[in-house]
Amino acid sequence: MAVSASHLVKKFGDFAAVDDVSFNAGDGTIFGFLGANGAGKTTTIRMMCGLLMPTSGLLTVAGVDILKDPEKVRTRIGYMSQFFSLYPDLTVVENLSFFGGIYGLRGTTLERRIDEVLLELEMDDMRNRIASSLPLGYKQRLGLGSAALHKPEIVFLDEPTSGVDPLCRVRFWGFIKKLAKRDGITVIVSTHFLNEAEYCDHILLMNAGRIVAEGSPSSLKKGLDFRIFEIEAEFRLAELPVVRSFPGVVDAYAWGRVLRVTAEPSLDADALLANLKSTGLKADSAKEVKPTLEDVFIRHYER
Amino acid sequence: MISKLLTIMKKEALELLRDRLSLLTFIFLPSMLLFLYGYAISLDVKHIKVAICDLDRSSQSRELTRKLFASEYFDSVGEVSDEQELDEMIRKGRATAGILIYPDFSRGYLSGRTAPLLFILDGSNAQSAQSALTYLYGISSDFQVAALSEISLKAGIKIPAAELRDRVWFNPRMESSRNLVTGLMAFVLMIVAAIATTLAIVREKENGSIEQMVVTPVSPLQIMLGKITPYFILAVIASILMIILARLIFDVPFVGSAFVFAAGLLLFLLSALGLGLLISTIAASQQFAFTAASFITILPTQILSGFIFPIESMPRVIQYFTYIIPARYFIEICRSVMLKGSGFLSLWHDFAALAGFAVFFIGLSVMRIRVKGLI
Repeated sequence: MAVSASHLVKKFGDFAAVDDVSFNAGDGTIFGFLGANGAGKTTTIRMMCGLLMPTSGLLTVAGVDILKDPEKVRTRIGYMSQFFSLYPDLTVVENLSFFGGIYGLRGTTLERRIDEVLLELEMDDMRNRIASSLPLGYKQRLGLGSAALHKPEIVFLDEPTSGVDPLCRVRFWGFIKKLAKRDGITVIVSTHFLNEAEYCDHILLMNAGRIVAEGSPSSLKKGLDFRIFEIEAEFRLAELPVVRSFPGVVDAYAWGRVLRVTAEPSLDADALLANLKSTGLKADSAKEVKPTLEDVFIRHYER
Repeated sequence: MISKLLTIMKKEALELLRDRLSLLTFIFLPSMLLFLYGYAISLDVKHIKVAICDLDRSSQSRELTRKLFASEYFDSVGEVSDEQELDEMIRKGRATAGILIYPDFSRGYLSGRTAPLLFILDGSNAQSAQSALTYLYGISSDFQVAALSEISLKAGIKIPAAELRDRVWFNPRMESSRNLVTGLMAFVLMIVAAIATTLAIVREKENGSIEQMVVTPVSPLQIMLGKITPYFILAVIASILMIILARLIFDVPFVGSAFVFAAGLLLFLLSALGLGLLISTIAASQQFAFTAASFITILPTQILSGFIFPIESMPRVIQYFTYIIPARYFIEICRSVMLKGSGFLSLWHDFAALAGFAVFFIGLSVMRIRVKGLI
């Protein structure tokens, strides 16, 4: 088990940023923390890295008891903070050799490893570029490279994709997958982008310092005890509260010209359509669709 | 251990070398300040502008004015014909001092009565007025002594007179620039070293890269030491440049031992860097760090270190405060070693005080880092 946490609590004064959280992250998996800002993702990651001491609970990272010996884990993990934290005046290679150097890599070992990482990240032609002149997407890759240079057992990525455009995000996730699958590195990542959660093997959904749901993306979607309907209809936004008040309807929102309705399992398409028509809405059919992670997310947030 | 420390030093040095502006500022700003201050705040009063109104027009009055302008203290800005004009010259700022020689000056002088003379001074600059008055008294008394000895010689009588001889050591011409330049070195180094270290550390706190370093297997002490060392080396280079400049431009001698001086410089820089380090353990933003470091170093060092204002002439209570200003001790070492050639023995309490500051500031910072971590 790469990380194992049980009844983990972190309090800042009276405020519990992480409130009784337990989970296990298996070796070589991509393990995602999902939640809005302030859900406790970053605090949890910082505790796993030894940057913050838990208030109570048990936490083992790479077999090391963090509460007893937080420093022992440092050679075995890599960490990329929200800010990519590079040295803007240094070149790509200088940044990498600095991080390699403080992890104890030296000489030809260091050089070989830098070459390897630059090839993996498709950045070989950028080795002598000054970091501050790199586009954001490359800075992000360089951050990942610095965190993984010393071949750690676990890499922690704290919101690595914030501020980066969607195309770069997709490519970045490609590199993360490569890292996890080929080198067998466990990746623990936090994000608030729901579509990114699909890349994870296992997701923890966090809200207000607690885990509200967990599982693989598909099992989470399957486990949703609601039906989702999409109705093509002519409606005005002012009518949404009316739809929400129908019996059996949990939520309704507009998606372009499509009305998306979350409903109790007991409600079927015909009953919904009949209800809609009775209020004078022009609707032809109600189609049941597969839930997305967004539906799962919203569902768990509302509980 | 060592290789990780070297890695951090190398990175810090590289960053410094890339940041040309900061690098040049750090190396040359001290010398530039020395140059500007050295010229600007000369406390010597020379070339005072004097207007003369000689109503006597005798050989005695001419002899007096000749003596006056023979010294480098006074420059003639013209002769006027009456007292009103003299007043006008001073009021308009064309002259700092006016000398009115009354018509009966030579008559009084030769007949053995008093020879009247009026000094008019622009007191708006108290410092130069005070000096001008002192010089003028000196010259008029010289004149008197010369006349007396002439008379006594002619008459063959002996007049009792005390003769004052002076012997000024270490700075025979009593130029304030020697004192200022040595004090200035301490002042400038204190500010630059403390502010630069603080900023270097707080910058990494601000952009989050220090957090990145904390999760690596290096200790906070390695990080601090690695970051400070390049700045220490730069400070030493800046100091050497200042000494050369002091020598070449301000003619400040270096009679003492370079070794004693280096030891003092080392301890002083350690306490300045230590102070910077301590501020960085408290400050979270570069702005706060800069303000705090400036506030703590600039004013107290300028006023209380003896750099400009002599400590002996401060009120007793204020004198106690000067003991907590590290620059005070380094200025003492600078002046003593460079001008007098003093050794360790006579300066041991200054060395002890600086060592105490270095240990205190660095020790306290280390304690704070141990307890609180770097972030």
